[in-house]
Amino acid sequence: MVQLIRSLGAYGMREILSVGRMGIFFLYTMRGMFVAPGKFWPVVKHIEFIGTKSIFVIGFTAAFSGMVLGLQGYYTLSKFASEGLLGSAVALTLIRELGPVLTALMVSGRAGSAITAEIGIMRIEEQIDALDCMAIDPYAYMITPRFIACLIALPLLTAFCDVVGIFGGYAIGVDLLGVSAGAFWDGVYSSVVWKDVYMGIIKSAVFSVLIIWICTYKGFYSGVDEGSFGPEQVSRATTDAVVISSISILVSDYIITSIML
Amino acid sequence: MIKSLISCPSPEHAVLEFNGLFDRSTAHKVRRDSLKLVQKQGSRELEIDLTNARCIDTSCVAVLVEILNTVRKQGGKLKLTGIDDNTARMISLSQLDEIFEDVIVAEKK
Amino acid sequence: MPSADLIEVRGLKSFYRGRQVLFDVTFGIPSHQVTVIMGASGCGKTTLLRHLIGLKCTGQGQILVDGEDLGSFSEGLLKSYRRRIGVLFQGGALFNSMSLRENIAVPLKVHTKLADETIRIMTVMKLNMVGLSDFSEFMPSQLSGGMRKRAGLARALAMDPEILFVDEPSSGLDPITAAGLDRLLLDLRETLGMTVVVVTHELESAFKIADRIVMMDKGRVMALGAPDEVRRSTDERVLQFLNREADTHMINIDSYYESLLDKE
Ligand SMILES: Nc1ncnc2c1ncn2[C@@H]1O[C@H](COP(=O)(O)OP(=O)(O)O)[C@@H](O)[C@H]1O
Ligand SMILES: [Mg+2]
Repeated sequence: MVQLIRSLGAYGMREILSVGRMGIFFLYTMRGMFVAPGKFWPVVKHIEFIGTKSIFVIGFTAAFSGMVLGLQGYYTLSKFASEGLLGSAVALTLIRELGPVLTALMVSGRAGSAITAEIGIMRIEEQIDALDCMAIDPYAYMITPRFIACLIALPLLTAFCDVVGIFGGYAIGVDLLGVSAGAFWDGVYSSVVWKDVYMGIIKSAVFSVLIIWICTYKGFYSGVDEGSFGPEQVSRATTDAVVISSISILVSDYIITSIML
Repeated sequence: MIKSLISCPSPEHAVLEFNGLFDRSTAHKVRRDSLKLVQKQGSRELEIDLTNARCIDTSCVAVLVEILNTVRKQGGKLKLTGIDDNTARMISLSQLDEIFEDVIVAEKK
Repeated sequence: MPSADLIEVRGLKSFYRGRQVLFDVTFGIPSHQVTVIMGASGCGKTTLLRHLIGLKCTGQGQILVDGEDLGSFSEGLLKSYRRRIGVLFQGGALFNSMSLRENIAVPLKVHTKLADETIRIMTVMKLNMVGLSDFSEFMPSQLSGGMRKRAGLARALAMDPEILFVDEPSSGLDPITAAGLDRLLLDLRETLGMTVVVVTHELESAFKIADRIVMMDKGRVMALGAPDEVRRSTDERVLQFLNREADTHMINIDSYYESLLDKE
């Protein structure tokens, strides 16, 4: 019993410590914005990695999600004989919910895990120590550019996802199931208001911070708690990063929605 | 800090004299001044006088190599005077003696 | 220890999660000289080096740099100390997403205003010093271990550091290349007046390059002094190390039996 309480206590302490450490990690990363070296080219490079290279996956995901929305929406709406609302149903679902969440999940799976692994390898091969010893701020050098890149790339990818998804819904609803094109677009225009777009943007901004924060943090500290630096630590960090960032995306999605509705 | 002094004893011959500490924080100034003069000089002879300059790290060797490259590319000639022992040792540490062999001129001013 | 030493280690104890690996290590590193830290593998050389470069906090004991305690350095002071040092890690620690040339250019790009072309020339010069000038466009993964080590040394030299720390530079190298590296370390001391700290377990090279030898055994300093003094030592374990005798006492027989028999 004492053993149980003790290990619970130790677990609690560890978690609290790591939350504190994550906060400090964030502060150092923010400070990195004002510390040499220059960020422009590194940011461009990371946008390419996080953004450009995700376009295909996200386009694919968005197209099929939009198509499914078209199908499901059509069958549900046709029960109430209101197929004309398909456009607004598809657009609203995508812009408010599915676009930000799907994009964030895909990016955390594709780019986030790679970032964790890359930084984790830098940790276990003492490359981060080497940066320290060259008097180069590792946060400013490797974390901050990734933060900025993710913050730029994710909202753009989300917008791309929304557009592709709406056309996916259009393809199914209008071309396949025979909803009139005018009704579809009219639904889109009349129901989507600025607030919906705004909500989507806020969501994707929050998700991008969560993804990149968790993924870089996990990589940066891989093996530090165990005190041993091997490949297992990197693979554990990578899995953790993807699981935790996916969960936090979904949880924070609920929270943001409930606040903003 | 490093200061440069340009003089042209003859139209074919320009002398660039450096005065001060020649290290990686001033190397870009030496480079800029020298390359500017090289561009202006065209294919004539450039003499760099380092008698009053102190080279303390290998960035000055790199800058000298770069100046030499540029001068040669323009078909000109480079002369280095006032090279101290330490700089000479750095040049041989970088195994560049051969390249600088006919460039470094012993004091004869 | 005379106070002319650039770095002084005093009574340093070091722990990994409660397990002590350094016991009251005390020695000095004289400036503009080559200090060799020598000892069998696992005796704590790398750990000691990590203390010296400020990567591992000094729990007990002190490391004095120019008379100031490294452990009490603020972030800014630590940074300025690190701008004076160059470090070759045991594994090389090259950035594996960059070519050798880019690796060596990293500190130059961050810390200096040198033009790109000057930086390129400097990186080639440094690679040439370690005999790798033909490999400047290679990625670290395309090189052998010994080559990566040498490239790491070239990067450590990029900023012409005042103090150079190298961890087992010649491991994985053929004798000729290793001798070349020894020569280079001596040249650096001569030409640039560098203070060099070499960690090694190679006797020959240690005695060839050292001005001062710190011989370690299981986390303790076993012998300390100029090469001749160490060679003249009468300590049994020092002699054993010098004569490369196999260590018959290496295994603690009792705990060996215990771990064989003690299965719950
Ligand atoms: N990260 C670590 N965690 C726990 N113990 C370590 C760690 N690194 C080294 N050690 C232990 O410290 C001792 C000294 O290691 P090290 O300094 O690497 O020796 P050397 O460099 O002389 O071969 C060894 O017994 C090793 O097991
Ligand atoms: Mg070691």
